[in-house]
Amino acid sequence: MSIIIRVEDLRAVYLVREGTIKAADGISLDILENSVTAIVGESASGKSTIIEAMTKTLPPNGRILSGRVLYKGKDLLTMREEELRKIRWKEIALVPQAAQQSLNPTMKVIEHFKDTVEAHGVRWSHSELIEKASEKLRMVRLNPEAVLNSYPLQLSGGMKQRVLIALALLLDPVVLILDEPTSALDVLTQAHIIQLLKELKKMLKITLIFVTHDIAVAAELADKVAVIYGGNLVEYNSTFQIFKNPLHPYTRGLINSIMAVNADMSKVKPIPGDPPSLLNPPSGCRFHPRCEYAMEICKKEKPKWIRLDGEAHVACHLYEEGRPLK
Amino acid sequence: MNYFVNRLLYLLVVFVIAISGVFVLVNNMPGDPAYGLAVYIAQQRNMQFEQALEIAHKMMGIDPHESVVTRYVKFMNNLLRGNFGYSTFYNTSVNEIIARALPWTLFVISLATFISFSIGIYLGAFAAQKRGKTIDTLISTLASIIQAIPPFILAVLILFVFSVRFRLLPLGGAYPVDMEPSLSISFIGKVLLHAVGPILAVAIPQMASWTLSMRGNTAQVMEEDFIRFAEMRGLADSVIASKYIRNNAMLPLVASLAIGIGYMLGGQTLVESIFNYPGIGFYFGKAIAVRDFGLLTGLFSLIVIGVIVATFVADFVYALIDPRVKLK
Repeated sequence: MSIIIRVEDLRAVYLVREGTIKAADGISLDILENSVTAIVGESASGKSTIIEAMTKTLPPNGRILSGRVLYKGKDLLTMREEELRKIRWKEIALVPQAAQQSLNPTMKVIEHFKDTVEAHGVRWSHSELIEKASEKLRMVRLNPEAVLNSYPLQLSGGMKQRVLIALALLLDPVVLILDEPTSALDVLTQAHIIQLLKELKKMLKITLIFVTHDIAVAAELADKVAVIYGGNLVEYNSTFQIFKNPLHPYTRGLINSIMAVNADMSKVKPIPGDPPSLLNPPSGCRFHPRCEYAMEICKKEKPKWIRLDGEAHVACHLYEEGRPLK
Repeated sequence: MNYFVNRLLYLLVVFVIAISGVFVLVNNMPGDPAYGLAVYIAQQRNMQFEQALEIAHKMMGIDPHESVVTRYVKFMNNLLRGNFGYSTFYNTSVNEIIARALPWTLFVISLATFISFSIGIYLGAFAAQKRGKTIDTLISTLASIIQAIPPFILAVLILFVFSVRFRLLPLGGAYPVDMEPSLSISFIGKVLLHAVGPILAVAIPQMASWTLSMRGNTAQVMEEDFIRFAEMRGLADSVIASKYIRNNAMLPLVASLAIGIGYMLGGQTLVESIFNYPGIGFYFGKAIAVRDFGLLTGLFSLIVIGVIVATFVADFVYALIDPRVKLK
């Protein structure tokens, strides 16, 4: 599989009154074509920042400090605004986390489809538009006639989320990025969306990137998992390997904290300590205050992003020193 | 549909309460409303005051021995038939005065509102989009100051500067006294020129307050998630500015627009008095000055009806443009 998006040393911060929040700090990541990549981390670990910085859709107080995002050999970050506007949605579509408020309350659903098409200079007749929109809505298992003529307030949360996905698929994008597609939804609707994404993956030739705090969702859907902690990427591997043999102490903690229905409660181990403040992140490895394997060097030096055998990438001093986790 | 029936019933109740309030208020005013007219008749016809008072009562349709309830029923009955009462000062029915004055008031108010609303919306949206820049600070500061100027002060100022000092505008009235109303270009021109003063006095403070409201609403809408999502979809800035930002920011203002027109029917008493502009406000001021109870009651009722109709229109318009109201 070839690489469709290559992220190199991406740094993004948010400017707030108290200083700068270092939400994405030196992220390097290769996204493979037609694969499903999950970006997993706790809340406020900088997951959304990565994908928003990649697509240059950070909120107004967000700033990209450095890095490159190569898509088909071109850097999205230095591209002219007009050129980027054309790629957005047509080739790279991003469904934001706030699905509940992402539709214009005074416009019918169909109008959202219409202006999206118009924005990209696609010349479809009205009946063509209805046909294409209906096709995508059926794909996400919504009833097109009812939904297209509804206003957002007439739709439930799960329906709105699916409308956004249908809207994202409208122009057959190459890459579809979803920010927390299942959070803020009830368990049944969550299962529905996951099922839906699985089907899309089978039906379409598409590269999916999604952000989640729920590692179980990642296990269900993803081919590859990137684990992020405190604005740093700590591990990137195939889903199978991540679960079978987690390399980073944080990944291991994350997997140990999953609660299965039939799990033995005594074996569920939460990670001790609190997530780091990104305003004043810890020195060296940002995980060191919570890490049971922390060494002297972990407090001083930031671990390098190293490639181990196969697809495995990890940022941990244990591996730099050749003392892998057992 | 249910929504409108509800609103209509609600406004009907408001109407009865408000009109009853007008009745109670005027009914409890000290003095006989026919007193002034009786004095006038006694002088004119050189007759006894008691006799003149009786005639005056007859002319005004008042029976001093009637109970309050009968009078109330009569008053309501008259009003529902579209009879607003009798003006003793002008010696004519209030309906006639309304017919004469209402067009002028509606003319000035609608023009002033239209101008101030269009400019205010534009300035407010513009300021919000330049938030934090010098031009925004300038617009908001000026608007805050201008908004606080009472229209009648502005009216005196305009009259003094443009009419007295520079003689650019006429001193008062709706058209020159020596001109016969006609549809000629020169007459229409004069009418417009005479309306400039009152329109400016009403429109300028209003424009400032539209600007401030629109700026606030726009700034709020710009923070909404659906704006960012529209940007993510690659929509052009102009589409986002109009269909996404302006339409949503304007919604609450359209409702206040309709209600505002209703209130202004009687709210510009001082401005119209200063410009001697023969609108409802002018007659209202006159009625207070000469204690013309009949005219006062009639105009009061008209204003109440105006506000209620405007409220209903506002509800209707709001439901028409905001699906959230209609569908709930």
